[in-house]
Amino acid sequence: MNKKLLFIGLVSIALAFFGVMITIIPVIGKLSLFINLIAFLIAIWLVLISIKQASGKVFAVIILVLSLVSAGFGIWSNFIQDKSAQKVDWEKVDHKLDDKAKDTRPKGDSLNKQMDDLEKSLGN
Amino acid sequence: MVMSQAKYSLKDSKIMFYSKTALEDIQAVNKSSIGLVDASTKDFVVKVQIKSFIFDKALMQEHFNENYMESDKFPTAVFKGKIEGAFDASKDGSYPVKMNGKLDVHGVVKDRIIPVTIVVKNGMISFNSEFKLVLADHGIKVPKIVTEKIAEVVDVKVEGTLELYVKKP
Repeated sequence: MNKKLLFIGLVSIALAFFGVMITIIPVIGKLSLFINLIAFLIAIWLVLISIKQASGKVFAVIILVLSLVSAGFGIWSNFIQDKSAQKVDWEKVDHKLDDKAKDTRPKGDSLNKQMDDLEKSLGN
Repeated sequence: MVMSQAKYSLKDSKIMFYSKTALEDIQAVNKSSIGLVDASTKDFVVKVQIKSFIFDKALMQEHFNENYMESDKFPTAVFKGKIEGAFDASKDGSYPVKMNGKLDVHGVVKDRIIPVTIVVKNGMISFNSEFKLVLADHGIKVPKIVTEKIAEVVDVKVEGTLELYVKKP
C-alpha cells in the first residue's frame, strides 16, 4: 500500500467533504464560500502531487471532481442562486395549519369600532 | 365598472406565508384580517393582526412575534390604496385587477402593486392573490445565525370572500 497516496487521498476527501458540510451549516453562512475555495485549492495541490504517481491518476481525478463539486456548490448557494426567483408551488404545500388557525377577529362593539376606524381611513 | 355603489367588507380571509430554504420550510396562517372596499371610489383597506399568525411550532411563533416582527411595537400590518382594473360583481367571471397602495409592515411603508384575481360566481365574490415580500424592504432583520433557515423573500398567498358591508347602528 502506498501510504503517501492514501494520506493524500484521505486529506483531499476530508477537505472536499468539509467544504460541502460547511456550506450547509447555517452558523458559518457566507464564510462557507471562502472555506470551500481554500479546500478546493488545497485539494488541487494534493492532486498534482498524487498525479505524479501512475497508480494515483484515477484516484486523483475522483478527488478533483469531488473538490469541484464542493466549490461549485458553495459558489452556487452563495452567489448564483436567485433566492427571489424561487417560487412556492401552493398546490403542493401541506396546508396543515388550516384547522389550527381560527378566526379570532373581535366581535360585537369592538369589531364595529374597528370597522368604523377602517371606514374613516378609506381613501386617506 | 366596479361592483355597485356599496361598501364591501371581508367576510372571511386566509393569509398564508411560506419561507422556503434548503434547511427548513416555515409556514404560517392568519384568518383574522379585517378589510373594506368602497365600490364607488375603488378605495380599499386591509388590516392584519400580526399576533394572529399561527405556526406549526409555538417556538417559531414566539420568535416571529418577538424577534422579527416585534408585534408589541408593530401590532398590525395595513395595506391601503386603490383598486386598478374593472370588474362586474353582477356578472359571473374571473377578473384580474391590481391593488395599488401602501403596504405597512413592521412600521415600514412601501408602495406596492399587488395582482389580485376577483371571482364572481352566483352572487358570491371571492378573491385570491400571490405575491412576494422582501423582509429587508420592511426593516425585518434576520440574525446571521439563522439566515440559512429563514428566507430573505417570503411567498404570501391571500384568499377570501367579500360581503356587503352593513354598518351597525
